[in-house]
Amino acid sequence: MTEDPNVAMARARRYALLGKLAPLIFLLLLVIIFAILQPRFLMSLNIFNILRQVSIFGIIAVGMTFVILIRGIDLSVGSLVAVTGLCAAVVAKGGVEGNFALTADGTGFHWAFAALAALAAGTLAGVLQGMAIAWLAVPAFVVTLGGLTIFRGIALTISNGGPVSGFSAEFGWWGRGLVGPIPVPVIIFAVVALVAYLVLTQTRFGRAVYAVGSNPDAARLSGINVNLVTIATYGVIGFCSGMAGFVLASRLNSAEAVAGTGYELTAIAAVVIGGTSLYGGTGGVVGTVIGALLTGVLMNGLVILNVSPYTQQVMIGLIIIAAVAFDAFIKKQSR
Amino acid sequence: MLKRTFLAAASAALLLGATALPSVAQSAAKEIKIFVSPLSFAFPHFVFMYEQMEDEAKKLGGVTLVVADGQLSAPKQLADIESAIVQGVDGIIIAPADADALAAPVQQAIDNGIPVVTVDRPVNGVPSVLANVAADNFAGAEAQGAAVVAAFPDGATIVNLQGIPGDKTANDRNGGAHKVLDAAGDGYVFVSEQAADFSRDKGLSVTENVLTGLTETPQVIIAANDDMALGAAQAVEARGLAGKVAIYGYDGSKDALRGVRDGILAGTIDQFPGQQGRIAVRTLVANIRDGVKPDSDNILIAPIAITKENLDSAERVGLIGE
Amino acid sequence: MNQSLDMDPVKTELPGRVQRSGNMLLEARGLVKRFFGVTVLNGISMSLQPGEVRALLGENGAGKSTMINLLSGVLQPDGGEIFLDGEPVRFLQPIDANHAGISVIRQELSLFPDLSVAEAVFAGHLPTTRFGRIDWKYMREATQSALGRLDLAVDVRAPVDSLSVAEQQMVEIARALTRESRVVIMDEPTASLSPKEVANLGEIIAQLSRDGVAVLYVSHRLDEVRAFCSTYTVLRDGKAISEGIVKDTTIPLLIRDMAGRDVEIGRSGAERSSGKAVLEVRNLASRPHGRVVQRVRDVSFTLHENEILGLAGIVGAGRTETARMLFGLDPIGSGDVLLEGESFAPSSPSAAMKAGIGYVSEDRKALSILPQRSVTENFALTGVVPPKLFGRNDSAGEAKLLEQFIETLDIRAASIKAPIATLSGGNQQKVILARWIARHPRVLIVDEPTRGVDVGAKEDVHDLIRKISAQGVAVLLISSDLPEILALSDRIITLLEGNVTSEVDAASATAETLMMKMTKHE
Repeated sequence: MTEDPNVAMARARRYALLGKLAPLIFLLLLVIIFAILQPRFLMSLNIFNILRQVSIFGIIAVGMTFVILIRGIDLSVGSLVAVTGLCAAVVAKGGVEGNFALTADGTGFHWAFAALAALAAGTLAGVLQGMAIAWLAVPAFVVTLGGLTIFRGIALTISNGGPVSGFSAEFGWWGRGLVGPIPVPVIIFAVVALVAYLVLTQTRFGRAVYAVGSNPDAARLSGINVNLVTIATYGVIGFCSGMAGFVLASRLNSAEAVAGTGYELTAIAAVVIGGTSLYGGTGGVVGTVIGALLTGVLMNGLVILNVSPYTQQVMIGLIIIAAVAFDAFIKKQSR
Repeated sequence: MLKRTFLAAASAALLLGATALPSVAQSAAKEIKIFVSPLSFAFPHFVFMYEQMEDEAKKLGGVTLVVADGQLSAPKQLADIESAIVQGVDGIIIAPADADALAAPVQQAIDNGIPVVTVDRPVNGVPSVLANVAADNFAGAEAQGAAVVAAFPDGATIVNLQGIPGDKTANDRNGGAHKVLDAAGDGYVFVSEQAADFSRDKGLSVTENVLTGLTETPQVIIAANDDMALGAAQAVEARGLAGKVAIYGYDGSKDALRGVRDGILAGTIDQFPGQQGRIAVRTLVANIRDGVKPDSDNILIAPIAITKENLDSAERVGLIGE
Repeated sequence: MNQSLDMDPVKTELPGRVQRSGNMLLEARGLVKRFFGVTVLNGISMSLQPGEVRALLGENGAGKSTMINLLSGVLQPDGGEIFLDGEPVRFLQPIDANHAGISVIRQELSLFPDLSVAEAVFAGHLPTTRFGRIDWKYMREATQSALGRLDLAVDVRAPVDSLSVAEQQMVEIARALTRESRVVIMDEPTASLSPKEVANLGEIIAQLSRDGVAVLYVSHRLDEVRAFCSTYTVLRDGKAISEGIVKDTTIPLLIRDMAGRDVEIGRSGAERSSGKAVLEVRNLASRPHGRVVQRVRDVSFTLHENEILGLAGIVGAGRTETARMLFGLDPIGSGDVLLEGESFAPSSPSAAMKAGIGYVSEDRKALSILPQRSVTENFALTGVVPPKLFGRNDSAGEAKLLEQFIETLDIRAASIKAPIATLSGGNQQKVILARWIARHPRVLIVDEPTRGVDVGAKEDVHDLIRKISAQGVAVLLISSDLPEILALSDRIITLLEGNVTSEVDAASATAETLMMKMTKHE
């Protein structure tokens, strides 16, 4: 009637491990399927393509992981990418043609100032949203939904609707350059993910993020300043958006107000596919990186197979649901 | 049925200039307010169109433009028109997001004695619209296809970057290019057709992916707007194929014209948005001040393909600098 | 009746098991349930006759909650069967059990905070008129009468969250009463009730029994079991250890069955000399805001080092609210607090913690633990080990310190990396206490330290509180459990409606004298 508890326990442990690996297994399955259908999929050139395409929304997804871990959400990241990209572009170009000029002679600044402008603008925007969420007690969904249109409007105002393009080669290196065979954005993504991983798993702040997401009341009663953690977390995703905005502007050699449209959903999808719970408190950056890769592989593979754009949308949706269902199924088995 | 008249851009300008100019002198005293609802200021096309409208309004004198960004949203435009009616504007210019959804509010405005001119595309089923001033996306895409045929008379392998799936503009531009190239013979082969959603970012990444999937480099990339074409150009350059693939954009934007000048793009399509905007303002003002009706209620401007040879014909060529 | 009356000795599986043929309302045979591959219920059989009031006893982790969940359709058994009126049944979801006439009054309130009292009582089975409209009139009247039986006077149109916890608990009971239930399962129903309300509940149970309703009564409070129940089943480690007639047994025997050893909860007898005054509270009052009334009106006391001061009072007397102000969770309305002679008004928990105050809250699940996080993370949450450079956690230091506590406090966990939710309530509470003790506070406020903690672990927690007090920590003990207050405290103050009504030496106090001061009477 009852089985040996040791056997049962071992099986539960095996499933628990499998649960952690579920997104990775799903990713490998997808890669194998694409590779069989189209061997060119595995060309090293294509692998780097995927990594490069993943890196920009991947950087945002890393920031989104922090936000979702504290039971939050950030819908404004796509618009913020446009704003921060334009900030970098405007500083690099010294103004916007036909709109305004920062310098009297119309010359631009060094790329480092452009990058700083993007990071500072992103962080500031994130912190401001975090303050509204923490202090005014407006739900994050509402604040960042407001941010989504506010930042898009600011981007349009800065750019006057048109693109700001044509940067120096140094500026362009951050989006288009290579270190050995590896594209620079991929390195940036890897560094951002690694730092985020260390912060979340090894530091007091990371632990506070998990605590606030797991049980905000318990966190508060343990002396954690929940408001401060919330604000800092939105600062983190703002910083990541700024980073993504700068890299995107560099990669496209152009910044415009419509850039980054829809990034928020891609980033949220990557985080959720990676196993981070929308209810906060569980998950992490490793899952998010896998989730981002899975999303990237999907978009790349379907184009390479020349699947009709209409069908693609259906397939992407189905595969996202399948990935999360697979994860949930494995986790249920371990219970 | 609307009477269709195709005019060359230059002659359209002359014709309407002729009817509208005298009226300025006659009744400059009447201050008029026109409400403008462009499709979206996120598109440089409409930003430029509106700038030209403002310039035209200034030239005519006594004309104030009130603008509200349509944000690609029919409900937003509907609400904007309703409030414009309440404010009591003298005329409305709209580039509708949805030809059917906006028919009712446009009819309502006309019923309230406010003349309406549509630009870029018409609304359906409202015969009392003063005029529709538009460039035909389908015709423009036909010009794009014709430019490809002219450059590659013996046929070509073609990658087609489409706009947002299901969008009317995207469908028309796709349809026009297909019509010409499919009719041009078996030599013209679409080796890949993918949506890149009118975005430079996706134009770049989709082209990267498409190039990986193809065993042979395509000869031509056609894109349903300039942003996607410029993104594709970057992907082509990154693969070391610059100059080996002829890339055609659409819209005649500043960046695209620079690209054509510098040999990055093979061509683009100019729909003369500035001309459309100016004609719309003049037609409307002439009607409000003098009750003049345009000769045709469907003023279509023929789009043309811009290549290095006829770069000077592009409307925005003066803005691209050296 | 006792085991000698067994009519079918073949079916008897356990000593003391009461077996009857026929006439059985609800019967469980050989129920098995496993979680994470661990068997939590191992072949439990139990039965209920009409009118029977059976106590289900056991330490936390013994399998009581699982048993309730199986009987009410929240979980499905991995083995064994459930019979209703002699017919085998399968409850695939709670509504199935509900339709079969089984109601559960849960330990955690399952009411809907925004609904009115009447709506909450009828949620899930709203009465309708002939025309399909909701029959509000009937609903209000029926609710009123059910609440009347419980001696509870509240507006049935008021929203549920405007009621006190005890009142909400009574509404939960009323909900079961209106359902025409045949079996009522009560899971720790008296956890937040005052003595008078408990007595009322006893009458209700007797009435239900006379009406032929079977009651399964789950509680840690053995005096209530004695007063209300006719039969009992004791679970331990997922097995039914004993079964029988309440009258034929004694409380020490029940405790032995539950804990598997003799546990004595008695007076500590410690007569600690009161040392230096650490915390002085003078005329403390809370600030009413919004719907929250002023719970604390005039509270004064002095807490010395080495001392355990008991704070006794019924629910709503202002005990927890006093603690919350001292810990910087709620603003102080008026009055003075002196910490070692210095004026002290904490603006936040972290400020209170810096000043050397610790607070173990009364609601472990909602306010103390991070359920999905590891034992280590839960332990280290209060910053027990200072971080290394760049705010890095000192994982090795934390693990070392935690291992010490695991040993001294006898904390049972599969691993320090396991989620704390996998530990039993008692072990969770020990981790929470360790989290505060490791900070070496000057003042430690412990609020209901043994609520939901099993009998064995309860004594461990008591020992621990005595130990930290002996180390010089000033302890403020808040508890609804008078034997606990009497066993641990050196001095006791009683609160009634936000005012201090007495301050006594624990040695001279009895439960009766305290109760007199905690309740209102003419």
